[in-house]
This record gives sequence, structure tokens and C-alpha cells, in this order.
Amino acid sequence: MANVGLFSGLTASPWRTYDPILRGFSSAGSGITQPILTDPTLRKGKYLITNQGLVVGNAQITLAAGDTIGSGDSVWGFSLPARTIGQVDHPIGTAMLWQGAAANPSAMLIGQLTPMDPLLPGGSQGAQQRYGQVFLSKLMSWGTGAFASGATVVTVTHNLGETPVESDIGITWTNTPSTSPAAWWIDTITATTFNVNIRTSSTTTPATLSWKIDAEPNPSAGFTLLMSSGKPWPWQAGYSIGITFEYQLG
Amino acid sequence: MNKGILPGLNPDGWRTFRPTLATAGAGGEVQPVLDIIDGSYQIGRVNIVDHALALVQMQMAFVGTFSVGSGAAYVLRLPFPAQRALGAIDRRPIGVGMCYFSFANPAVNLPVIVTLADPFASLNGTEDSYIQCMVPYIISWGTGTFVSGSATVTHRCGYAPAAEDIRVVQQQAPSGGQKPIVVTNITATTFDVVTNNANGVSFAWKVRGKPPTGQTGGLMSPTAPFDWSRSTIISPFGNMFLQMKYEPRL
Repeated sequence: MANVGLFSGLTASPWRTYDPILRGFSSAGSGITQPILTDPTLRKGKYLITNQGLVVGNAQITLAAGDTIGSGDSVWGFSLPARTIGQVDHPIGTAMLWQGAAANPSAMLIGQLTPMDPLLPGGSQGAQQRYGQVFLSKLMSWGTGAFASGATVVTVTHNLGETPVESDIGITWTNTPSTSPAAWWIDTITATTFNVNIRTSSTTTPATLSWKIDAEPNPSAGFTLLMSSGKPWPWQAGYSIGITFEYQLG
Repeated sequence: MNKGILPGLNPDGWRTFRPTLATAGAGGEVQPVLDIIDGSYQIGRVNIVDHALALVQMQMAFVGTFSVGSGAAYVLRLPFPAQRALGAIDRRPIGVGMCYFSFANPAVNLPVIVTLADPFASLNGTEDSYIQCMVPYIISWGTGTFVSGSATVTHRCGYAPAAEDIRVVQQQAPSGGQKPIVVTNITATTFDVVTNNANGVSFAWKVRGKPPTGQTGGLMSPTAPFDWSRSTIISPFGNMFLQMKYEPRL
């Protein structure tokens, strides 16, 4: 619609709205509990298709209290307003993964939006052309820990969704214990926990710490590079996924 | 392209504009003061495609004699207002950008996500003409020296970071057996670092802080993603380079 004519006010805007959704994808093709989004007012999408076949727009999904996050997926797909014929893994936009203004902290990660991998969605094949996936630069988790009186080890539950390596884990000591720990180290790292050890325990005032994991996605864990129901963090109400995109109409 | 009988009335095509930077919030903001110099440090380009899509590139730099102002968030003025629901907060991504210090040590560079500006009270209903940026983290850094085993660091983050976001690395050997370095008393301006046998020992520190809670916690501002006034010390330029696309209200 390049020529808007003498009376441009009579020409309707070519921008359209759409209702984005999330869908779980998996190479296994089964065993997926799909996310269920219950509040349409928290899903907003807007797009434009140019005369040259370029789809341009943005969208956002904010998870509501009554939503089902789902499980068993390798990857979450974010629905696009129109089919794409773009190459898998080639960026078609940017994603903002955000824990929301009410979260404390209000963590945010920037990801890269690409066309969906041709995974089996647990249903019909070929749906991948209607979805985008989000590449992650890292996974995040954080929290606190405290040694019990007389203990030389504390086990931390990290909720990362994969097994980090030692160099991904940062420890900040937050008090001066009554007895110097002498030395400290990390070991026994699993997909859910890790141990912080000290050489010498304290009885009167045990040591306390804060910890943070900034982990590169683990290549041995399949599709861990991609946003899913458990990555880059466990999703919950109030968190949102926003995308901006431009891609070739399929 | 057919631009109609009166082509001068059709804004389609590329043109330049001068973007403006402001602080926004609940009121009482101190506006930044920018040095224009030769006019090449605050520039923008806009292309209106098919009378329906605005593609914008924007450069804003603190250079020469300037002041960063104060306020909850930075907003930048668009060449044309955006089309959206009146008075609504809309955090859908419309673009990406980078905030960086050039010719600096360190040449800090962070990606940001561009969204339409929140309806801040200080914008008085004009928020459709502004954009804001969301930052993935707030960064600050520096060095210090222990005096009798402790030091107070002025961190310049603009809020109290979490302990796990603070890293302290000692740069010299202690004078004897040493307890782990402890971070305590974290406030919006300082934190304390405590150890023993370290009188006169230097250390380096860095904060890579998750954005704080609240509507403006994750927004670019005079102190996010870093203290922009540092560019007077480490760099000739404090830069915001942004690109975005949106539905203009022509």
C-alpha cells in the first residue's frame, strides 16, 4: 500500500494484531506436557507484512498465575504471526526474557530469535514453520547458603536445569565466622545441587554465603542452548518473553 | 514509488533527525545537558516504509562538557510518535542497541532492548513519542586498599546490589594466614569488604548486578547500565547506539 491516495485517513493501517502462544517441542515427539496460557490480555502481538514479503513485528507473553508451565519439552516455540521459510538457526530477531518488574531481582536476559528446529512437537509435523525458538547466551541461578554449627559442608540446591561446572559458580562470603574456614572449595556438582566445603568449621558463628551461577549451556545436554520450560530459569507467573522479528514470509 | 499528487506531504523514505535525551519519572528529574559540538554525536535516521513502518537508527553520546542528569529512566524522542494503546505500559521489544564507553579502559559495552516508554508522569501524556531501554545488568568496577583488614567501597550502581553480584579479588599476598574476604553492609552507595592480615593490600572489585525490582529497576538511566558520568574519567564518549522499528502515527 505505497500509495495512500489523496485521503490517507481513509486507508486502514496494514498492521495486524495476533495472539501469540508457547508450545513445547521435543526430539522424542512424546512425553510433553504443553504450556497452557489462561489470560489472553497478557499476550500481545502486532505485525506487518510488506509488499516485498517481509514480516515485521513484535510480541510478548506474560505468564499468568493460572497458567501451566508444562514439562518434558526440549525447546519452547514462540508462535509467529505468519509462516516463515527462513533457515533454521539464522537470526530473525531478538528476544527479551524478563522476570518482570515485581520480581526481586528483576532479572533479564537477551536472546536471539531464530526459526524453529524441525523437531517433532508431539503432534503434527511441520508446525515448526510457525514458531520461533530463542537461543540463550547463558543460564542463571542464584541464592544464599549457610553452614550449620560445626559443619564443614553445605549443600546448595541450584535449580539451574543442568549440571554447571565449577568455574560457572561464584561464591561471596557474607559474614565473618567465629573460626576461620582456612580454605574453601566446591565439589559434588549435580544437576540439582553442589557442595561448598570449608576446611575448618565454626560453632558459635557459622559461615554464610551468597552464590550465583552464570553458566554456559552444556553441550552434552542436547538442546540446552534453547529456551524451554526450565531454561534459562524455572518459569513462573509474572515472567515474560518478548520478541521483535523480521523474516521472510513463507 | 508513487507518493501521490503532493509528494512533500508523504514522509516515506530516509531522512535525518536530531534525537533528544531526557530523564523521566514521577517528577523532579534533573535533565541531562548534552554538548552538541559539531552536531555529529547526537544523530538519527528514519525510513518510513510504505507509510506504515518506521525504521529508526539513533546515536546519542555524552561528549565534551555535559551532565548526565538524574531521574528514574532515560527516554529518547522518536521522530514520529508510535501507535499504541493510550497510557499503557508496553514492554514489547521494538529494537536493540548498545551502551558503551569508547576509547576507554575498560571499553564497557552492554546490549539493551528498546521498548516504547512507560507513561511516566513527567512525560505528561507524550510517552508515545519516546522510547526507553531495558538493561540486562548493571555494571561497576574499581579498586581499593584494605586498611587494618577492611575497606568501604563506593560502588556507583545507584542501588544496593546483591552480595552474589559482587566479586572481590585480592591483588597482593596477605601478611599471614587469611580468612576469606567477606562482603557486608551493602547499601545503595557502598559496601564493606573485610578480611585479616591485609593492611595495605590492594584489591579489585566488580559488580555485575541483576536489575533491582520495580517498574524502573531494569531501565537505562543515569546509573544504568553503568554510571554514565564515568565517561568524564575513562572515555571521551559515553554512547547509546540504537535501532528500532515500530508503527508510526503519521
